[in-house]
Amino acid sequence: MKAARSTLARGGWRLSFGGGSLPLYLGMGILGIWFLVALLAPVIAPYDPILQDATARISPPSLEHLFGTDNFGRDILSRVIWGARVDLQICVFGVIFPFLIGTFVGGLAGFFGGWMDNLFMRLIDIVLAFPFLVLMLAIIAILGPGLGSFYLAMALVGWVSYARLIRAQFLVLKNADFVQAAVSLGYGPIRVMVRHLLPNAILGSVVFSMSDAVLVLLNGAAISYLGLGVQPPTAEWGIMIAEGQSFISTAWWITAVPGFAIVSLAMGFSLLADGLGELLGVKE
Amino acid sequence: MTQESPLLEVENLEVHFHRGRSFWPGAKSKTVRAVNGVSLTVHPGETVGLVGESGSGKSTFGRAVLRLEAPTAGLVLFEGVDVARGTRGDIATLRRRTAMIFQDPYGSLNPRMTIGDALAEVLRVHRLVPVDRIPDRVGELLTLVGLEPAHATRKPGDMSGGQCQRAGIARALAIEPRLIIADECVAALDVSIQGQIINLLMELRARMGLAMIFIAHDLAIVRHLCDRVAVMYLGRIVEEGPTEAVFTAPRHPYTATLIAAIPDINPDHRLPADPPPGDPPSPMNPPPGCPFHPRCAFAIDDCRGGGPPTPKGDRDHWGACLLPPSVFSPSFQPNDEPPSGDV
Repeated sequence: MKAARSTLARGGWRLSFGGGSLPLYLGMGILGIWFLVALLAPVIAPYDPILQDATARISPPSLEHLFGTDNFGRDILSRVIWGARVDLQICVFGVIFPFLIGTFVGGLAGFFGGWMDNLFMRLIDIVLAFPFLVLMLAIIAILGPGLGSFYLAMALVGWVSYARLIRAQFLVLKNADFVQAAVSLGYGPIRVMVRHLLPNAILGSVVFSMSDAVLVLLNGAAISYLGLGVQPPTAEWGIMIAEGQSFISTAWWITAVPGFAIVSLAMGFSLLADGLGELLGVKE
Repeated sequence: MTQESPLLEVENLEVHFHRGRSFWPGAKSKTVRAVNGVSLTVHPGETVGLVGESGSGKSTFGRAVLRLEAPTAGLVLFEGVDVARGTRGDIATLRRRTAMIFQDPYGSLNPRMTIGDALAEVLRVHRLVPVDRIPDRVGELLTLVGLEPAHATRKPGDMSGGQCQRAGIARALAIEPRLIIADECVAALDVSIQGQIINLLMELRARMGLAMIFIAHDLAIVRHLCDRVAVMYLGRIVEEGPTEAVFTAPRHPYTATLIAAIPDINPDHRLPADPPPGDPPSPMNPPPGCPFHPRCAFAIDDCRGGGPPTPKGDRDHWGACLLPPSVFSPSFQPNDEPPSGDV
């Protein structure tokens, strides 16, 4: 039985379910639950997330409000459920744009080298010279607060890690025999890059993007906390924590419940990253 | 054979690498002369063996001929066109008419592509057969190299080294090349598989009239497979001639020591002589005179100074050594030694 499992795992990219590990399944499970919650938010949320109820302000967890209410009398459970939609969206878009830009730029730099490599690498050095959050805040301050600005700032700042990852992979793989073979068979540069280099170089970035999603989520929460991301009264976990912090000594549930949501989603991505890395044999 | 116009003519090819190139202008960078003035001619249908120790520049030579490495100087005439300084179009033609077989059978195939996809890609990119004929042609190619058409759905990771090497050969044959460069293409395989692959290459050569440059360090295989042999040492060819002539009566002491070092399976025969002592000198700092003199048992004072020796012998079989071949090659009868002179 054990032997059969290990031969399945050897297959690499094919996500054979016999080859995964506990972290992979745990991560997929946690993320799966959150995605379901976000999808079914209108069905499972017991209250309207922005409906204020002056008669039930700051009420502790009870049968009526499972996780209590905040200082406007809004149901915390409903807000966390609706917030999952916003926060998952932040994770997905906050990762996808930097991923695409970084892969494109890093691929060009690694494949062509020369002046193109120099140009892009110096650009990356410039971006890296600034502290991540400071640069993001500066960009959002220029563009004005909001989720759109947040995604744009993420794309402008976050691509550098992906560019460096892909460039390093391309530099190694460029000299691999199968790439040399592709060149010697007269394939054009685009074909060599897209069909031969990219599929072999991308795995590390895919795994990295999972752990990057954690950082993006925390960033999004931090930016919203600072009032520059999602605007109230939209339900978002970062804002909920920001709004609840003045009541933290008297009403713990206002901050603790969205806090737990962030931690669990982040853990789901982390576990998935670990499990994927192990399954695909990628070393970070 | 010499009346036919040659398929490939390489003249004074040089490939240099710069090591430790510095950001600061004026700082010294070291130059490795991996290929240092090599001339070689290959006729259609001919198999030329290129032998030598690791680091002798034989792989770099092969890669430079296919323009996988940019030549520093010299001419590479493929079908009369200089591809060393050729236009994009010249190089595209070169790529359509040549192919390479690599040493590492797994490394030379894209691990994320099935064998069938890899072969179909060649056919599709170069429009070698109509699109609807591609699957049939893939099956034909696989059969040609002794695989099953069913192997088309496999990925390199699911096949043995020998099967991968056959797939690599099938991919090389897919573009119907005139010249194949096989770079140590059996060195990574088991001896029994080596035999199969060599037989396959011989059969294909006879059937398709392929010219081949067979780069190897295994002299026994070269003797079996090649029409002519060129021996490389430290970026230069030190001897070139018909295979049997080179093996029975070498014209360079380096060739003589390489031949003496071929292991023999018969236990009654004495053990091979010691290989040339020491390591080859660094190509960054080649010795003056004959590059082989520090390791040569027959070196005389004249070998230690001046430039590298000029080729001696006749056009067909020459060696770059100052000494008469009878000194180091006992089978060389003094009476059949041709009058020595520059070629």
